[in-house]
Amino acid sequence: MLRPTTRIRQVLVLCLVVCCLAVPAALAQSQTFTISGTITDQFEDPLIGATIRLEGRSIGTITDLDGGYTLQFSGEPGTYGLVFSFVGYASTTQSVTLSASESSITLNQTLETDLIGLSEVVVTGTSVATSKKQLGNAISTVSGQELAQTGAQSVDQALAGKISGALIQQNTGNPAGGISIRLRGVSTLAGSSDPLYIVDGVIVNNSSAELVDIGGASQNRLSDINPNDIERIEVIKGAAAAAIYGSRANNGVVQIFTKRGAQGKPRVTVSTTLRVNELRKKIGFNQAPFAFTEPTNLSSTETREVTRYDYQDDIFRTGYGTDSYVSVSGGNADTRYFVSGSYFLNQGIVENSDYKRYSARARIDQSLNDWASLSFGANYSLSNTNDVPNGGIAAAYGALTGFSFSDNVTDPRPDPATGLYPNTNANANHLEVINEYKFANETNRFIGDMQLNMTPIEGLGIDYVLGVDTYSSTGTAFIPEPNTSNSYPNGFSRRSDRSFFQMNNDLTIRYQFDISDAVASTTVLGGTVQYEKVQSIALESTDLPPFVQTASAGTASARGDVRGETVVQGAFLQQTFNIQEKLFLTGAIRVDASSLFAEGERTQFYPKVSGSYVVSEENFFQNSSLGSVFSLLKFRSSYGEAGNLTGIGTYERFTNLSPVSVAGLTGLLPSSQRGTLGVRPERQKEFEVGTDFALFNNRLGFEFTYYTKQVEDLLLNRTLSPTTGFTNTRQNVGTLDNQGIELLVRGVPIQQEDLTWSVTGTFSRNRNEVNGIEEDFILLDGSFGQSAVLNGEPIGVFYTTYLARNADGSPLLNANGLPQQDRVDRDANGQPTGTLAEKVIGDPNPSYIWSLINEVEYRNFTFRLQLDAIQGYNVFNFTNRLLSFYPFGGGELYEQELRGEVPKGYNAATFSAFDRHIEDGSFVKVRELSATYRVQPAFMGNASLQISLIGRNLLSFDSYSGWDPETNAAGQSNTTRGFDFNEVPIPRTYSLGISATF
Amino acid sequence: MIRKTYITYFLTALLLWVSSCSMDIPNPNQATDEEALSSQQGLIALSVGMRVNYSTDALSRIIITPGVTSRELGAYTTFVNYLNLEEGGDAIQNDNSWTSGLWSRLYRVVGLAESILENNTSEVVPDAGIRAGLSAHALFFKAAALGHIIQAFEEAPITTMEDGQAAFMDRAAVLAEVIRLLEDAQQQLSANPPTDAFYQQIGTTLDLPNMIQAFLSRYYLQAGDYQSAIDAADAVDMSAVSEFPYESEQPNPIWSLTVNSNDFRPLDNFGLEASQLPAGDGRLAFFLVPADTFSAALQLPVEDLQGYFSEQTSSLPIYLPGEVLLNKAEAQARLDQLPAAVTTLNQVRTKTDDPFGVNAALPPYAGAVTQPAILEDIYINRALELFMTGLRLEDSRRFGRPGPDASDPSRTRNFYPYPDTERANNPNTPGDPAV
Repeated sequence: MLRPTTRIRQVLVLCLVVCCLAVPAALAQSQTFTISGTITDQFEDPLIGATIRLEGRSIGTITDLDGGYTLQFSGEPGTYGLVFSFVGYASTTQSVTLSASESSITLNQTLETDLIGLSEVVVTGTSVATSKKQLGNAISTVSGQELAQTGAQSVDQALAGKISGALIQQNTGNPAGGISIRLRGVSTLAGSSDPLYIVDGVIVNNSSAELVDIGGASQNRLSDINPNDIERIEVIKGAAAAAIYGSRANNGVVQIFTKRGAQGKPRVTVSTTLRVNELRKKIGFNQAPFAFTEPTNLSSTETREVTRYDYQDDIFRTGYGTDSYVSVSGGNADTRYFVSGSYFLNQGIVENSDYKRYSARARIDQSLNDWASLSFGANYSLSNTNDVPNGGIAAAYGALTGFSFSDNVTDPRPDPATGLYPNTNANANHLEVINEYKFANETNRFIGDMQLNMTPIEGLGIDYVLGVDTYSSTGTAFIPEPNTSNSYPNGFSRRSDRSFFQMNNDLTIRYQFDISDAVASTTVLGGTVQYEKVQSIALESTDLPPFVQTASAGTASARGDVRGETVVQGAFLQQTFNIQEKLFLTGAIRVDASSLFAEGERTQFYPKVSGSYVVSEENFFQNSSLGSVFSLLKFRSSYGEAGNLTGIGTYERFTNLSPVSVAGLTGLLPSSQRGTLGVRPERQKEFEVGTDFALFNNRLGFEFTYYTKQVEDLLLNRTLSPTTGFTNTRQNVGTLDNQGIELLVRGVPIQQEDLTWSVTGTFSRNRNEVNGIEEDFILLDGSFGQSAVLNGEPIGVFYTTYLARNADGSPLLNANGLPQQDRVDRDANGQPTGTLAEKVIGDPNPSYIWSLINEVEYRNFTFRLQLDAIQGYNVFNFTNRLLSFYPFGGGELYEQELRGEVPKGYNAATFSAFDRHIEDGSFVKVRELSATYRVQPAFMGNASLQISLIGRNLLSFDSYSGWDPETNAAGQSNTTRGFDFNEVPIPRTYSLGISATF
Repeated sequence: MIRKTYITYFLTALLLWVSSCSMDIPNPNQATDEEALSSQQGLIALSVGMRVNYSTDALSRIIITPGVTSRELGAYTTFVNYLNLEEGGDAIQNDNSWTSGLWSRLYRVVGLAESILENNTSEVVPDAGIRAGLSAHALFFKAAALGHIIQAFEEAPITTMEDGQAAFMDRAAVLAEVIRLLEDAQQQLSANPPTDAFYQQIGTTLDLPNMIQAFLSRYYLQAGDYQSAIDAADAVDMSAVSEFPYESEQPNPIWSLTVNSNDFRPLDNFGLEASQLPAGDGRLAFFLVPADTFSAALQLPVEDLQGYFSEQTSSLPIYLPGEVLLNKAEAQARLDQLPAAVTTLNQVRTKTDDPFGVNAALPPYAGAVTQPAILEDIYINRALELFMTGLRLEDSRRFGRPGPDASDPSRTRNFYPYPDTERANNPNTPGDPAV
């Protein structure tokens, strides 16, 4: 009986043997060849940045500002295939014959627009390039050029509305952001539904670790990557496609490819952008110039005069920012380079909050000989923020918390004599928070890769990638004494450091050969070893002495030192048959082992099959009447399984005993979570079927997909009877089903030499349902127990107490004429009786999402408008609930009570009838509106200049009464969504940028 | 051949590296239960861990939850479960975190004590004295946990069960088990008294023999075995002090929830009518600081708290000497030994040298020497002397004070509903009490 890890090693050994035997000894005389030419579109306009690649070899270049290219390489005389490709255009292959006498040839090429990108080349596995035509699943591609027009500050933010089937939500308007991406719905309860991010073959971490509590919102680490450096992004949705990525990939894969150098003289790009951020909308506040003399005495309506303040004016401001970027690239036949540097500054719309990011990137591609090349990439970034805490779930010391927990009758300004801030009510004075509290985060990050590509014989490719992603983050918090926060009246200081290291080694071997004239075969064998190490340390103190800010001052209140390591080993084998370029069949199996699980459950197998049929390649179709309408018609389908490793912590399968100490004695205390040694990874099974077609000579294209995905063996923190001595355990129980459709439509209503108008629309709909949970419901963190998981319901519905209503829907009033919470029964008078009743009162999962992008190119101008819509979902406006309640009462709802529009005590009576604060969050936002002007001024020689004015989040069409229906106080939480509690709204951003390339 | 050689070297090196990765990575942060339960040092560490857990997590629920229900405390924050706890009655749902926390945190202590008792064998702990000490310590905390459970719930299991299907026992059976555990602890200690070295390891602020006798007097009294209650009370050395120590990283749990965060505040006059308070009672100024504000749910007048809750690191008594005396006085009164009861009661009324500072400094009892009158004074003295020790709900029922349905209730529930988590997983869970 073999141990599971031994099995994986055997697979690797096998793959070694296969490739060693396959390597031939023969070597022929080689010489240098040069191919050059120009690439243009159908209007003979030069295409800048198009790729020219030697088929079967890792040699290529891109076109310059005039669309020209020169490709030099060494090899033996013979026939070579040259692949021309560019995002948005159909790639094409030309064969050239080179001999000793004809060593230098010219080859010009015209590329046709390709709306569907069917012949686009995408990279699956970590380094295997495949034509999209061959794939049985949907892959979305976004070019770096598209990203540049978004006015977004991070990669994930820029993707919003660009991909069908992706729900992209910005959870906070903090200057460093905080973004969630869900591809085809949530696929785990306990873990993360973030896709797997791979940058140039390196698995990069996207954690949202919250080192100091600034109010639920936290950065996600994808923010360290500068969008300016990105060449293109490929998004692989779902398990069917991702099976070969194994146990980390059940949420899909986002592959990011950064820019590389090309043969030719140095090309310099310099750009600078000015940004302006402002609050899109203020919310209503209590403006009644009087207050109740006896607020809790319902029979007294006596009032006194007061002055009301709009605290929003103290909190929000217009923030500015800059984005400066320079890159230099170039190279010769053997060595190509790309280097860039940038500085990004973004001031938040909350006073005193900002985010800075410095980054530098380098990539060197070196040909070692005519069958091997080496590539080396390095990315360094340093980011730091000045944060203003905004309350949230756990902390009560935020600026917006101060706003919502206040009766707005106190002048918040400090006493000029003492400098002390007045108490504005229950929680900290917001001005004090903004001016005196110091919260900051800093991250140093390095992402590097080394890639070796070998093509020792025709048809055989061997690629090795070593990727390293490492960063250290520091969070600091300081609340001076004295202060108005109830939590830490004598001051508070915290420092928390987190260091992260991850390494991935991927070896991929592929072999292509023709079985017959009609059938071509591609075999890919891969192996991976991934290692991750996370260490964090935290120190917290209270009762600070004056003047000192560090956490070693005062009384130590908490300390933490946590270390963890994880190893993942895996291998896969994938076989594709290409039958006459019409029918493509792929099968694959992946085996994975992770140290998170016990030996018996460690090793998992993940299969996949997929097929695609390009009907429009068939003669009978081309000759039929449909053939003249359909320029392209493809059907595809796939099935695959994948796992998730995030559902369980590093050592969580054990019953762990933590150290405790008091009065000089140390002890061990078992966790209240009982260990379950036999847990397995969650397993997702996904099926999808779809079609891609283009009509009217490629003027109108559709991509449509229907999918179902079922997650089995959900890892849940299921409760135990407390009389076990434990409260919960992590177990494989329950299922999660998602099903939905994705539609992408691209059309070009006008395509003339001077004027092009293109329209892209996406529509997605996802339904999700949880089943098989053994208890009635599981309460979720991050919303004061208002979000829950229930059998037969979508994940994270709001499940809580609600208002008692009459049959006609009007509130059922009590004897005092006030509304009331509903209870399980009604008494003889029809009044609620018994215990408080609970039900599902809202669902934060959208019914559907859509986006619509219009782009008009007129001569040197480009105009772009993108609308994003998330429709049919509920937001819990918890901020409004507090603003309505008497001890605070700074909101409009309480003003109604003061003005006698509702009976006195109305808001207190409905305070815990939560359905009153469930709102429709549906919105349509003007996400992007931009105008770009491109020019090649004579005085600048060969340089091209681009000036753009971009507006982001300009308008929102919604009926939401809070600041922004898009934010979420639970941050990047996987399950608790749509909970608005003192979260900074997403700002309206204008940016004016100028970019020059020469 | 060069090409082949290079590739072979490269792939071989890669393979060797891959094989060196271990898949069984030890946890440097925490110990496993197997490690802890198989050695004497592990059992001692687990005992300290259990007690620290009792003195923080469990004690906060023991004091706060029934304290709010029996009108010692009011909620002073707007979290729904806090408001519902203060409102009491039907507003306390099965998933109220304060009542379900009382249940789950105490059974956690029961489970910890049981795992210590089960593994405390002569193979693991050869020294009979240390073994007896570990047993008595675990038996005491198991008894204390079950005792506080049965003061707040109608029925309860007397052991934890791994399968989650523990059987429920009625009140008499649970009290009998609590007494049996305490008697067992007392017998083991007297048979093999551990040396001072044992207390150095497990905690010098504990006086196990006196803690056991004091708790025996409490639970004999609750079980109606009055003579045993008197005997146990007499066995307590009144100069002995047993307390839970705290430090900044394990702060006094009541300080955290009251003085520090203001989540809860004590009611005016200990929740009694001003007229019920003896004039000049020293305990009023010891515990309460006047404040002019009201609780969040029922708008009851509340004060600021002090006494041994005033500081982050104030130690909390494991039992009060005054409780032992009041247990004895009540047992005597219920046995109609009225003059003896008055004598014992006066020891509390006139006390000025309490080790914890709870000094009434009142004149001796001057009321009628009748059972009801003496019991009334004992109840008032218990309310003041034993303020916020987790006993008021039980006292309110035992002394027949006005129940939840009365117009001026002394408690807003008699017993709590069983937690959802228990009912969902344990088919033996009985029906909830009406109120």
